[in-house]
Amino acid sequence: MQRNIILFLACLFCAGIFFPGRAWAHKVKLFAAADGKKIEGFAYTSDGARIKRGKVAVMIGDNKIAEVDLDKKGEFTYEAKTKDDHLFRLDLGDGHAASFTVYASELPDSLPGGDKTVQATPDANENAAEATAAPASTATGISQDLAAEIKQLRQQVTMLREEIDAYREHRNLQDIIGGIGYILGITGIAFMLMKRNSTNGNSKA
Amino acid sequence: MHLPDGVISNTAAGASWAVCSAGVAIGLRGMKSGRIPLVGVTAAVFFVCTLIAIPLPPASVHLLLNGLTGILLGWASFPAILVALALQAVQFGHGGVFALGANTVVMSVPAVICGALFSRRIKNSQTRRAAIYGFAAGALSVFLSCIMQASLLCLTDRGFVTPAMVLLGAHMPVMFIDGAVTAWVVGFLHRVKPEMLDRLD
Repeated sequence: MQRNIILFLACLFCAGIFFPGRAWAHKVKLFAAADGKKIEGFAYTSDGARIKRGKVAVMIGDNKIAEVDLDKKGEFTYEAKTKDDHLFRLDLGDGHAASFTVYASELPDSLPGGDKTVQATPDANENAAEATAAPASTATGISQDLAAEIKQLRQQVTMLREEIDAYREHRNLQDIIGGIGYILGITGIAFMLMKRNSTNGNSKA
Repeated sequence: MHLPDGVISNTAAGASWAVCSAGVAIGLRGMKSGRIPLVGVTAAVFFVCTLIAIPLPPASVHLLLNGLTGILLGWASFPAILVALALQAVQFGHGGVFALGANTVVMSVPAVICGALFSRRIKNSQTRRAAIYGFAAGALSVFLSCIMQASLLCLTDRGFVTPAMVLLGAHMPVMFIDGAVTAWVVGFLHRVKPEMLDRLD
């Protein structure tokens, strides 16, 4: 009988731990990147599945300026009108929500100024400094080859960012076993405290 | 079913922490040292099972097994679920740390209710009927968790009917899966080790 119970608990653990990798649950995530004025992004769960329905609110500061729909691939597109930090927020209405910020520094300088009170990141400041340091090259224009290379480079950087974002959500067996270890550790501490309390009670009596 | 930080209001999160603290205190007070391993193992099973997602558009859902937790642990479900959810929040970012109280209440209150409703009936029934009660406990606990979460969202002025409909719609399959798993486990334990179904409190 004891063996049956141990077998049963082992089955339950194994069913959970060795469930196919894509099935680890779930946190709603949003990713977006700027390509010129166009901001493209997608929504997904931490197990990698795309979220195919929902509305993404576009916010600058506390102001909601637009709302875009997710398409059948779980993707959305928005064209920036100003050089501001754009916060994209997805709320599925059932308590699942996610947000992602595309910083003003990622948007082209050709866009009108924007709200300077919006909080800028250190990166944004550095990029802004670089942009002011080399105004001549943007003013005089660049060759088509260079523009194509920059576009290709931008796409590669976007892909890398997507991969880093996905990797952050990647779970492996060690994480799960680590969690179980913590629980067993806490159980041991509870045992120790109860034992100590009962020993103290007996010695006082 | 894991609320992230910032979705519910500070008032709702604070009130949830108060309910959660009271539940944990009652749970710990009634816990006997001989049942601590069961609490630990149940917390570990809950921890692993709530990490398994079932893809269901527009997002995905996961098993809860809080009905089973309630049947096995009674009020001790509160500390068991709190520990499991705290680890999920810290390790994986599933659910917010500030919203941990709310998430614990959403899953523990239905567990305690189902434990109170079904554990004695399960103990005093034949195995087949016990499994049916197990199914009812598993399904009801998911239903009540959806209602609890919709109520918390309602306290945050996000309405009640819409979140409740979205949650119930998404969790309809989970009710059946949770019910089936709970029925199987309860039937098995009833047959081989019925003393495990004695409530802790």
